[in-house]
Amino acid sequence: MVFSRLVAAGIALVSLATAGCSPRAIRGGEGTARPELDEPALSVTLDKMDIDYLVSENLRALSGSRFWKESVELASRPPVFAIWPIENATTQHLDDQLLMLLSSIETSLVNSGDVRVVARSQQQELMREVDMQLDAAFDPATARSLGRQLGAQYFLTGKITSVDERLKGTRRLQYRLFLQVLEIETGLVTFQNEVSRSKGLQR
Amino acid sequence: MENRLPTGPAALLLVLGLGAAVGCATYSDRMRAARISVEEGDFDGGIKEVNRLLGVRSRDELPEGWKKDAALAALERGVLLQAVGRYEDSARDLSAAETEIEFLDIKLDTVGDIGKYVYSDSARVYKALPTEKLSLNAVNMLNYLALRNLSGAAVEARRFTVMREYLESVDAEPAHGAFGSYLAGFVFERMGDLARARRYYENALEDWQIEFSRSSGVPPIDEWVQPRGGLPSLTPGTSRRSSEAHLGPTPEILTVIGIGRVPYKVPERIPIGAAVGLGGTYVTGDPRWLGYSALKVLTYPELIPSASRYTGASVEIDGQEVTVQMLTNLGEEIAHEYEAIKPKIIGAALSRMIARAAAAEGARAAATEAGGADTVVGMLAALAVEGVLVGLDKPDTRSWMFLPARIFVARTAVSRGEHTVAIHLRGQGERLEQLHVDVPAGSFAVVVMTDPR
Repeated sequence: MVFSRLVAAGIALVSLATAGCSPRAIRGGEGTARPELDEPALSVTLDKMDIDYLVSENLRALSGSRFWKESVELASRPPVFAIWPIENATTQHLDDQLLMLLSSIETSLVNSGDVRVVARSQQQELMREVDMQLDAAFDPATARSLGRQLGAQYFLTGKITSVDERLKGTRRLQYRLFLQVLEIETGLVTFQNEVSRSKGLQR
Repeated sequence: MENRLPTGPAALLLVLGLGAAVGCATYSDRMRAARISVEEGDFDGGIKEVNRLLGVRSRDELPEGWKKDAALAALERGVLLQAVGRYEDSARDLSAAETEIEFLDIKLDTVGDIGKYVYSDSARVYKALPTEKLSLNAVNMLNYLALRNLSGAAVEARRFTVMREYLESVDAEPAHGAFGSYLAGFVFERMGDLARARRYYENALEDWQIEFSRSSGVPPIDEWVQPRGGLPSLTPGTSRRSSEAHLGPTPEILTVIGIGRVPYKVPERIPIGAAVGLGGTYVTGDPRWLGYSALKVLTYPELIPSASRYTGASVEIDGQEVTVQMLTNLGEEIAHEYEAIKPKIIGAALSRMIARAAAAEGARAAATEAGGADTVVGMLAALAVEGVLVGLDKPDTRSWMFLPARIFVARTAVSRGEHTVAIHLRGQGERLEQLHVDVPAGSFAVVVMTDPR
């Protein structure tokens, strides 16, 4: 008797545990009643919060650098920057995130008022004309020729890398956004910096 | 007495409710219609059937919520989309399925793990086999290569490496990664990262040697591996290509052919108690022997070979035959992996059989108490409970059914410009496909022929 009840109770518990709730769509983030919605990570890929952090920390380092103070702020005319696509060297497909990242960098540079920025659409058109892949890795010789045609003095480029590790029950991804400014005429690196962000999955 | 009677029916109702939650058909049952469509060469029909499983209306949609087995169904659709040349859609499906499988891998599935040993093998979340996990990135690399998207293919190559290293760290068995390693080598070679490409080729060679040391009927490796001081290549030299063709950005065509389907699982039910019951009843004349043992059934998934329409392939480029080599036999790898875990599967099946017997004895005791000395009532109650539980025990037949069983490659240096690639599949059936590809200067074209028949 007791055994039968135990079996019944056990089965009932298992049934309840297997029953699930349907997900529902919600709105949140800045400007809503649930600003904390952006806080939990939904996956190990880069989200808006990660991109904002990686870009802002890198650009903070750029605007505080000696290069910026001496060669940009003190220049008679704001120098022209072109942005070379950021190379994705991670284990994640980041096409959309990289577009967001480039837009974010471009917006910050333009709004700084210290530099003029070549429109990416114009740059992409030129890259297509010379039969270049839009996500091609940075190549100094091509960059020099392209930069001259664009009338730019500096290229801002970079790479996003990741260290991806798994253990039973855990996965960790350590991203690093590496940014570099190169003087087109000389090919010299005038600034470089890197910022990290880790994401993970665990039980 | 009053509070005893409802116990049996209530338990039965709960058991039936649980049965509804577990589902009536196994994965191989639910995939039957899609499998028939694919066997008939109707890949679009197969996609429609898989859409039904995914709960979506068209192949452009992914499921809103990933219900049980949806990740696996997305893998199936990914292969079929590749077979009809919809590489971007295939890449989307495979990537989404991979993310979901990763969540399932990390998820703590206590209920499922207990359920596996108590009532049904299908209770736990789907856990992909190592060969399936490694093949996922390799099959997806093909999508990106077919689209000439090296950056996307490199992401898949890196993901493949992470998975390979993870599997090596948790599994004593060597990785089955010749397919993925070879493609990753090609990706990084074309990206100009020759050191990394070399490492991948070495891994591919190593895995190839391990894999084919287990099988027969494949030419010894020395016949077709010709390291030339540069990159060790898995493709033989041909009259059309210089010995250093791999080292520079030589225009070339890589043809990758995936044919057949890996073995799949079907439910197997062995009535191991029936013979004992019949024998015992015959010897003793006591029918209770049969009552106790009639429903002692061992229920587990058995791996069976898929019928393969094609077993081999040949390739001609601009009318000239090029050498085609088998890169991997995923079918044999899957069978090998299944044999390794089969004792565990049978162990779980035995455990469920014992759990069912215990539940039946509980029902017998409850019914006997309720019905007095009437042993027939007790026996019927025990048989009813055990019978329902046997019916609920759905063997876990989940596996990536449409994963091609055999992968062949042909790599050929060509001049820039347009070329004609003719692929001839042979076996019980025949298929001849002719494609025109454009190879830009210093670039490449990857021709992908996936036919999971």
